Amino acid sequence: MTERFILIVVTRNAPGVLSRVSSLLRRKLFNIDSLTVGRTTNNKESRFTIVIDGDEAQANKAALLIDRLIEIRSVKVLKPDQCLRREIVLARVEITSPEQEALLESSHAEIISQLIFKEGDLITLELIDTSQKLDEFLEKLNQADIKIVDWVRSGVIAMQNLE
Amino acid sequence: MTGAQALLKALENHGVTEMFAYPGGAVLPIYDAMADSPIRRILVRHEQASAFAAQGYSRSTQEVGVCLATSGPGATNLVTGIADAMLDSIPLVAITGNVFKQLIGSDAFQEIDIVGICEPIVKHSYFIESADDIPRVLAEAFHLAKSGRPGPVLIDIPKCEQIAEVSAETMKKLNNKENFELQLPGYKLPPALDVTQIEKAVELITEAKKPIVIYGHGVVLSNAEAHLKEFLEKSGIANVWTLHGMGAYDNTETLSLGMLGMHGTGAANFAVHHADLVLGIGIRFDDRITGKLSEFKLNKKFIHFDIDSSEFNKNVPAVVSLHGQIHDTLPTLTKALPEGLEKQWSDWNQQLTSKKKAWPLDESKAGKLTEITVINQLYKIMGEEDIVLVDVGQHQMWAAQRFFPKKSRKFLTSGGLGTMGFSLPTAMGAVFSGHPVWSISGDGGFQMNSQELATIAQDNLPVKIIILNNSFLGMVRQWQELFYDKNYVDTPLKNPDFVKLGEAYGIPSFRAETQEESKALLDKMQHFEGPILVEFKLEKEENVFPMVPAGESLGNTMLSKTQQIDAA
Repeated sequence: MTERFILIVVTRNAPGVLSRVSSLLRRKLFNIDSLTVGRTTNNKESRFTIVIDGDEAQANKAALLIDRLIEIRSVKVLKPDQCLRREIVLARVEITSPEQEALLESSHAEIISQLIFKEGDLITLELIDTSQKLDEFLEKLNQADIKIVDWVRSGVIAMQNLE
Repeated sequence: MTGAQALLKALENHGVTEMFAYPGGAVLPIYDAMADSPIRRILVRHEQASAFAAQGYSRSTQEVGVCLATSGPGATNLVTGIADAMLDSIPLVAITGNVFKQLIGSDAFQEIDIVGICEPIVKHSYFIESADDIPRVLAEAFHLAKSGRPGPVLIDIPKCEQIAEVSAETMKKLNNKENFELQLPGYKLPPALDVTQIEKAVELITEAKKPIVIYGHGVVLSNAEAHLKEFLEKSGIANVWTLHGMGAYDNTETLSLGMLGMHGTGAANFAVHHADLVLGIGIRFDDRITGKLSEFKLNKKFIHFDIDSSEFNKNVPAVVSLHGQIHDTLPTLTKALPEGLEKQWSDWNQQLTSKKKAWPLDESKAGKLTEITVINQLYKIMGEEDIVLVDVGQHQMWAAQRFFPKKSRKFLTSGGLGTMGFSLPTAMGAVFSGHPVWSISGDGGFQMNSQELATIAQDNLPVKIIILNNSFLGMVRQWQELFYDKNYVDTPLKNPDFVKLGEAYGIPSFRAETQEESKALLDKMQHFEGPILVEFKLEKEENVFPMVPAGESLGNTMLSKTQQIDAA
């Protein structure tokens, strides 16, 4: 498995910043695993969480290049174990047997946060955990032949651990 | 006061006296307001030329050149000139008009997303949302273009905001020449120098046995020429330079070994190949100077001076990185350096100077008129203040090997992007430095912007135009000869009569076909007032040496078709 690094980027909340950051990463051929962006408590700022596939040198290179953009306030490079990482998956699944339903129920123990609501014959899951945990869980659904009708994942958000 | 008037007033307040521009539908309000502005317009014949002329202004004067074009094709025509400025870190403010805001995104006539197109090739860009923002954005643009690592800034102004009225307060501030507060919270200039890096640098230098200095454009952009001289004199370290470093130090000194790289001198390439310590001062270690990177990095340590921290460890690992303006970092290092170090590398220096003697550059061929003849003849008669602009290709390299200007900003060329057609339009901007300007192009590059003869004639811009005509795209032909078995596909050119062409524009034009005619005409050009054009009919198939074949190591520098420098 390749290494992953997490960039926490605080920018001005200005038009075009997302495009400047993402097009920079594209043209320098970085591999982006995930990119999320939202406002911070300060409505003049936005905060990006960017997950990069690559070694530490590449992550540092990406950070320096991003920091060079005029509207960037700060860039931090973190290893996965240096931060709290979460991703949300919404998955709408079709259940055809009690065993399958039991599997969904039993997953409570595995996933940090899980909501289940029924919509007719379908069950919608809202799952929150690390990307890896979510991958593993989705693989389990797959192996149990649970049909996934629709699904979406949010991309990773991260926050540095306290020392 | 309209947005258009505010723009012109703000430009005036920033000290802009000339602007290189071309009119069109989406900038008509600005043109309409120009009657009341003292700014002189130079009407180019293609927008690309306006960007290059503005660059010529920046490159020769240290001020920020300004160009202006209309929306759509006017804007896209600027792209090459903006990209060229980005690659060479040249300050430039490019202004474009765009369609009314209500039409943006509707694929309106002559609408183009120029901010989007230029994103990778500008230091920063703006789309004006409100006329009232224009003076502040302009202040930010000039600050960004000039400060830190310089570069181009684009301002795209929709036509509605050119027409819209600015607030009374903005108008008052403009009329009183008050400053507009910059809103650049994320823009970082280099922090104070890290002293531990200086200590580490001194340690590396005192341990070195075979040190070499490579200096580049950063020295010029940081106005650190005097500091470089002090450092080189105190340390006694031999030096080589990049294409854009030329003139930052006295290149005729014994320990000045020549330009480095693909067409660098044998001694310069030898020195860097064998060095155990490289001090890269204001350079970015690009592929044209390193050759094969994996071999370039072998057995040596690097001390890297740069203002842009993203340059560190980009191509070579820096043991020491000195982040900041070279006029701050270099003198600090010089001061910290012990005296008498040069004894430590006197054998190495002696080896280098003997290589310099052993591998001189090619001489001009007896009785034949070649690029080298003309370049040598020109170099002999040029004054200290004369500016020479070369285009891209063989003549660029022959000239770069043979020009030793005493000052920086006297040899201007497109280094990073390597844009053919650079010389003529950029020369139009360089004449505003007030110094004599020579524009040299090959027969290929000249025709990429020959329409600018009309601009030169109309504004009577005193450019001394040299066309080195070897009837080929010479550099490509050279590669075809050496690496593609002389398969000359699309490199032979059937050219117009350049003398008649010049005359058609009303520019006095002449032709030289012998060494004697060449000398006489160069003398004539030197003393000529106003624009003059001379075509030099040259031998056709000359090659530039030394040469490092693409992808090979500096140790494999070919001095000629049959001789290599000793790689051992």
